[in-house]
Amino acid sequence: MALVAETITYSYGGGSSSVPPPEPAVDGFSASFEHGRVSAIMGPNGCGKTTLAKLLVGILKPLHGEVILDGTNLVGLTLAETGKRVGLVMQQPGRQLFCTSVKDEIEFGLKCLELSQEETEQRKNKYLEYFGLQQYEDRFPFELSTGEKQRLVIAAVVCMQPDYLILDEPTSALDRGRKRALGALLRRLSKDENTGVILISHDEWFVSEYADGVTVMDHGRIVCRKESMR
Amino acid sequence: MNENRAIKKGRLRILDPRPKLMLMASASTACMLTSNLWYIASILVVLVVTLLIGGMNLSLLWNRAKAIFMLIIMLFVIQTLFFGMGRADAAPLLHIGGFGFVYTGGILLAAMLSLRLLVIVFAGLILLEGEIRDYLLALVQMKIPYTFAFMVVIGLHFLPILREEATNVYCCMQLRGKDFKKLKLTGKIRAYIGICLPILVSALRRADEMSIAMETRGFRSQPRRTYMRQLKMRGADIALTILFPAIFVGLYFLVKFL
Ligand SMILES: Nc1ncnc2c1ncn2[C@@H]1O[C@H](COP(=O)(O)OP(=O)(O)OP(=O)(O)O)[C@@H](O)[C@H]1O
Ligand SMILES: [Mg+2]
Repeated sequence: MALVAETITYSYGGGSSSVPPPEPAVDGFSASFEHGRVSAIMGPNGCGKTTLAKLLVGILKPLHGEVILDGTNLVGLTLAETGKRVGLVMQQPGRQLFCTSVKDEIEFGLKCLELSQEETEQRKNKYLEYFGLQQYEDRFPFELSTGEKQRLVIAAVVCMQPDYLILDEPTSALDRGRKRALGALLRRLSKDENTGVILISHDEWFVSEYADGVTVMDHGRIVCRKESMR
Repeated sequence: MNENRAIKKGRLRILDPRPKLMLMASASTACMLTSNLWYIASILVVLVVTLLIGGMNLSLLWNRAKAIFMLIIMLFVIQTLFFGMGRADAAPLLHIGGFGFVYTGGILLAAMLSLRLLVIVFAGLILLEGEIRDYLLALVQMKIPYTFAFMVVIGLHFLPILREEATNVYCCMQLRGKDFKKLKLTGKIRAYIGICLPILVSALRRADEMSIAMETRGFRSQPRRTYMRQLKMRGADIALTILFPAIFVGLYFLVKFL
């Protein structure tokens, strides 16, 4: 049981014949992301990390190769079906919020999961508190600071308790204390709830502290892989 | 063969933006001023001929305008079916279950509206054969204040960005478990309105931030500004700028007296 990428390749804007197709953003990438591990992905700007994340949940379809989620090809699943099993926190916090209050933002996913009233309430309060957002409960999400938005987006995805969790630069706007809190949460999710966490990050301290293994990418390809951080 | 096409392809591209703007303005004005079907059809013919001489081939034309053609056909059908329904003074051409459908007046009206829409779409296609920044220069050289011209052009640039942003929110909603395919019509409409909210907020916010960023980088610090490039009208450009409106005026009288 794992989220597996099998030699996936993707390149942007190869559509029209007049412009030569650019270098692929992800080029023959293969990896298996297992349950119960925090797998980090690192690499310089523009090496294709965000593209890879989008391929892993099916927002983008690979030109070659396939993504297999616990034995099923992503091609056969709708985004909603994939999203309930694979959570994605995208890179720009401000572009993923769409509700009129912080509370609604967290409840959105819970309602789509069709959980019971008390379960929804309980999970909402738990994550609002964990990410220090209780006092903003009724605020308009767009009025939050960047770091608060980032915490809200993470809370809104994590509260759905997906089997796999992909985080694209989740610490870019967080202060040190919040980073530690997030790191501890990721560790707990992977060890206690057996979640497969895929952590895309530039933050070397955060990765060395909380990841179980690292994959380094460049130009859409894997340049090195380290299975253990010890 | 191929070479030939490449040369043709250039023609509309290398044309100065001003004749194109003039063509757009005069064609859309002309088609709105009268409701004579033959006249509007002749304007359309002029536009299509211009596009073909300008180097657009038919298959490309079809590709570009396909979606709009479908919309126009749909509008045409709806218009012809229902226009004039329930009116006592016109005789319907079709009876279904005691109701009259399809009136001669309806067909004519639908044809006129569809033709007008086509004129505007084709004029737009001609405008598309040019660089946005050339239009900016052209507008400025036509003595339109550059802050205003700049705004128009930035607006045009922003349309694809807004679309991308909407797609992004749409993806996010689905990933949080919202299945748009399973929603009923009202639910769908509500969800689509839900997509518009964040787009609107972020667009307003961005406009605000961008105006500040632009001013800190010196935009509008001088009352006038100069441009590296100057557009020069060649003989053909001047001739076409005059010719296009003249053709439409000429056609008007031709149709009127025939
Ligand atoms: N929408 C797009 N259209 C065209 N090219 C794109 C698009 N998005 C990304 N690219 C290109 O694809 C390549 C990989 O981009 P990607 O966003 O995956 O990089 P990244 O590793 O996430 O970088 P960063 O560390 O800056 O977030 C880059 O060269 C980028 O220019
Ligand atoms: Mg990125």
